Amino acid sequence: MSETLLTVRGLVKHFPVSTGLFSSRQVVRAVDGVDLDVKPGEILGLVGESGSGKTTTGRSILRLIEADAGRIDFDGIEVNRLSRGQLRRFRRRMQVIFQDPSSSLNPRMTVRSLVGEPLLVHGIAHGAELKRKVGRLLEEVGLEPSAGELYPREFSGGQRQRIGIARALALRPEFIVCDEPVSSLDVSVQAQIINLLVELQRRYRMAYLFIAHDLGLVGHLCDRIAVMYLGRIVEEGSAERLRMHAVHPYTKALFSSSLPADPSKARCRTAPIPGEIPSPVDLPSGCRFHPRCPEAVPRCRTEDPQLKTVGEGHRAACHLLETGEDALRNHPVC
Amino acid sequence: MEDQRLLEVSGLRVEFPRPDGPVCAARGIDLSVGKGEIVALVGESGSGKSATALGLIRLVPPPGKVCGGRVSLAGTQLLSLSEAEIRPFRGAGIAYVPQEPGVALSPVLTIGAQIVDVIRAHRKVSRRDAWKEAAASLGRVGIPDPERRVKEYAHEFSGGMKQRALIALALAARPKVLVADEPTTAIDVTLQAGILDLFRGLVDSQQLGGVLLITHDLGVVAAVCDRVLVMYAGRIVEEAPVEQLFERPLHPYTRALIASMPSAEVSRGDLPTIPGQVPDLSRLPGGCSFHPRCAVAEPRCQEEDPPLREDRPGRRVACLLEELP
Repeated sequence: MSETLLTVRGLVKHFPVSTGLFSSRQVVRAVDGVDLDVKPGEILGLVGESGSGKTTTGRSILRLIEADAGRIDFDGIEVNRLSRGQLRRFRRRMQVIFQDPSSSLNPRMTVRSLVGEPLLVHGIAHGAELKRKVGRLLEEVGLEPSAGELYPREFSGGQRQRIGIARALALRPEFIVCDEPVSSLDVSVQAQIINLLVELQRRYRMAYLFIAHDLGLVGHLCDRIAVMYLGRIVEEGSAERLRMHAVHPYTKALFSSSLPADPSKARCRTAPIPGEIPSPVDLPSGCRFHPRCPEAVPRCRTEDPQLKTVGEGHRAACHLLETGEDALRNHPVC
Repeated sequence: MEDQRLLEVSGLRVEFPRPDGPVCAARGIDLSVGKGEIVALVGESGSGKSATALGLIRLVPPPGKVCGGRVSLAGTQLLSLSEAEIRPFRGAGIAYVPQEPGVALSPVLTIGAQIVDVIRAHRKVSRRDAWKEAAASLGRVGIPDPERRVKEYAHEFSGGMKQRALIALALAARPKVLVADEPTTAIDVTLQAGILDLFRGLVDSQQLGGVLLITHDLGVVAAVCDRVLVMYAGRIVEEAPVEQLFERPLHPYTRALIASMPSAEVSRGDLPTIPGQVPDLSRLPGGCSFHPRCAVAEPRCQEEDPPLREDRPGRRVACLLEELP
């Protein structure tokens, strides 16, 4: 097995938008040149504000939507070159868990047919064997095998997400894109689902691309974190390194604006960054973050910074790193 | 000592009829907001926190209704007023920031026109000055380029901007108390702190008497609130000053909830969990509503519904166990 399981290079996905009858066609540059590496058995967190392109990145990797450009390699297979038929067979190896289990599970299917569908489609099991396998899967995610007779609406949000996980797990994938899998759940049941995801990941040595906006969760769960802003990765590194030594001003702002459940920490934070994420139709020139960046210099308005290595497995895209401009300035200390 | 309590609610009950009998979303809520205070009402979905908020300003959507309790705003009993009598209190007395900004703003009036309406309904201000004030109020909630934005419509605003426009709208009447229902949930984290700082600033500078902040996010509570009320299944189960709540939560639910928050300090996969799920209000378990999920429940917890009692000064808890941490 190769050192990296998944390699993404130069991923681009633009969506056309028409803003009016006579206006020229414009594009939303949702993903605009993303590079990612995921090692076998690793959890990579993908964080950023809404509109940063996290979900589009995840879906493009799985080819649930077709990217406009870029190369996706999975264990030596060039995923973006696979034909429809090849892709269908290949899908056994990478799966997805969606944010909202109420809308991602067909309400007219029983839990047994929902969880069994992937096994049936791939000709892995049918009849009594299928029933037995589905029962096992349901047990693995903490549901009774008898739950198979019921419909998704008969379950609570947390249990529905367990059904979504069982469905993703059915084909024993090596890689799962988890797209905000707990953010629609009640706070008191989130921890159950988080622990379940960790347990399954360890048991089957799966790799996750874990898309989330909650930095506490990402810090708890992920080996490495990639930070996205307006369709680009602006910084990536080990979870610990990013927490302690983030260098990109956006990452620093993101981490310092997250509010931990601890009054002494939550009250100690730097001034929030001004403005909000610009429209991905009308991108700022130069560094995309410069209009909101507290540390921007004139060069940032004209030149687009590239990702550069700043430490062991730690890369960031910021001009200030070159000028040695107090790049390792830390989070506020109270 | 002068009474510092702006808003005082006691025994508030809010019911929604269902074919199989009424469902009580708020089951006897006691709370108060004092001058200069930001009070958090924390709970999960279905805990009754929004029903409580709507109940105390008498905006429960029919056929739901307030079916008991008293709400006193700076000495005025709101629940005994007629619909006509209560109108001047809404906005200028208590302003309410609803949860869904998309639905709450008018699609056919500019944002500015809506704010101007509110300003002029409550104060004698010229149209021209009201427009200036409207633009300034948008700037105050962090909307860039407010002079231009004030002439735009809700559909031209992003979700986060709509949420902030709603806050500006609520503040336009210069209310004594602001009731904000999940005001930062639709907003990105980098903007969230700005809104919370705005509330704190307004309260500290006495431009706003007090805030009742409804949220499910313990991070928001920790960041800005003075006092916390924790709701579970239509009841308040714990009340404490914010530092004490996080340092020494008393109720088993609060303890479990705080412990289950993911953070880098907890090793992966070992997050303490709360078993089961949030109960359906129409099928509440007997006795203490939390007992089926409680790690320390005793047999009597299935029989007796614990009242909210004062455990020590400033702290109330609804738990039958005498030995709390």
